[in-house]
Amino acid sequence: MIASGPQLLSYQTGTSFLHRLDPRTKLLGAAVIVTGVLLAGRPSAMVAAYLLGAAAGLLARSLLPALARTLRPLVILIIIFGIIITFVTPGHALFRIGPIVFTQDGLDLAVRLGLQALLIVYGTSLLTLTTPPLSLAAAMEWVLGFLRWFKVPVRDIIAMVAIGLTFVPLLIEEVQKVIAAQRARGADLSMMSLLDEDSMGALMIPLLLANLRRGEELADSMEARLYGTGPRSSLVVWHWSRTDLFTSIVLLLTLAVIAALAFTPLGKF
Amino acid sequence: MAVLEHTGRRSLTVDRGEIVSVLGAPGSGKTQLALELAFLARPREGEVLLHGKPGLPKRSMPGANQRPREVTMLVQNAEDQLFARTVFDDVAFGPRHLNLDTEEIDDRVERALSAVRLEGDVRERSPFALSGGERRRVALAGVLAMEPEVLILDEPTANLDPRTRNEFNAMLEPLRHRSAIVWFTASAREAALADRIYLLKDGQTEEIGGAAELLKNWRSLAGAGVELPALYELAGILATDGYRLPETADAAALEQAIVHGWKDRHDR
Repeated sequence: MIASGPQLLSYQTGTSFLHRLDPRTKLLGAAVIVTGVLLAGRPSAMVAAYLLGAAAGLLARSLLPALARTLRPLVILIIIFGIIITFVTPGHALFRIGPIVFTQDGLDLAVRLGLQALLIVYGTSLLTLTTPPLSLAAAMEWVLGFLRWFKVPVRDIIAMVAIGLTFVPLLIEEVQKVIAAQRARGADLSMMSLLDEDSMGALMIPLLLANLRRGEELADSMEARLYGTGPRSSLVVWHWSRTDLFTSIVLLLTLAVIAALAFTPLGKF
Repeated sequence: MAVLEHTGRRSLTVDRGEIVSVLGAPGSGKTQLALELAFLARPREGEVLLHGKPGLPKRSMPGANQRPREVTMLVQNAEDQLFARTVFDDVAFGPRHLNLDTEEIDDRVERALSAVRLEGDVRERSPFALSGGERRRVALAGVLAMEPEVLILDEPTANLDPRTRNEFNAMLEPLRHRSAIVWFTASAREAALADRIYLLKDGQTEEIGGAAELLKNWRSLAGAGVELPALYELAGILATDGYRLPETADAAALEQAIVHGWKDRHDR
């Protein structure tokens, strides 16, 4: 209502290679990128992880401008935190401004954490941008299916996750609505004022109530359509194609390469 | 000079002591225009002038709150925005941001609550223990307690039952002595309660003299989705159904034409 930019996490229609891939393969891809970059303690492994990310990006080229817009605020945040980390980490001094000492160890840590955070958000955004929330939930259900043997209510958990993902844009809209309403009656809801208890309540309580109400209505309307009364068949028919098989093999090999670079003498140069 | 003015294609003015209504069908952009007038959204076109001067600086820093305090707005379904432990605290929320002393806040809350006819022990009750109509009134009191020069009302009676709706409308009239009022509504009957009426359609405003003038356009209003008095609503449906009805907005003539049309069809 107040500002409508590209929305984080929301699915964009398209026909790119990533769009056509089986959601389970994409889930594997995101998992490989996240694990890969977390393992990448050495520069060589980091480069390999980023090459994988770049390759994935090239397979959904049309989304890159929108993705760049979503990531821009994150980059600013990473830089700010990076600077803080650089001078709060003890170690070999690099240079000093007054009493503040910037250290080499801090710089190394800041760069590594920054690159990791960026690639994790980038990889998972590629997944959510190219996969409708319901397919994504179905893929998660498939992957977590084994938990059913341990009496975990996988389907209900996944239904909750799917609903949560679908409602993210609505939640953003709701936040903007509440902010406008409270400002309209004189509140100063800037970032700083959120530290004040009264303003925090003015934002959080209406938001919480709206969501409880929405949840209740949603539950009623689902039960009115007999949700939860009997066994459910699956809406999704899986198509595991040769492309998916090939992509998965490439993904796992890349993960092996990253791990090798990170932990064996191979990546030490 | 007008207290508040919007220039451009959606031009409108409001003066001290005046109630002005903006009539528009759902989806005609009422809320957007209301937010612009309350300096809560940048105008899509035109400018908003407070006492003849731009109300917002040309470029504002993110996070800085430079919104003029002279204008407040009752948003749609404003009772959803109540949050405090007691009615008193909720109404006092706005004034507390004005750096007033406790006595002044107390006075303002008292005045606002009596203006919306919520008296007695209500102030110590939880807003969540009240009925929907009462909560809407608490929300209105919260806006009134800011003692604004201009009060923007975005469909203040939406989702209220007919009786509460009439009570609410009757409460708005005396408020003109405190603030100039811009009242956004989708109902022609409510719009007619104002001193002047603007019709918002296709991203443009058009000033209409009064209720009689407004109903001359009943054909186009009925087509646009504006709520009309029952007779005109019926005439609108029948006209699209092939009844030949006169152009007049005169209620008696219209009624007669409808009755004759009915007889012609069914006596054969």
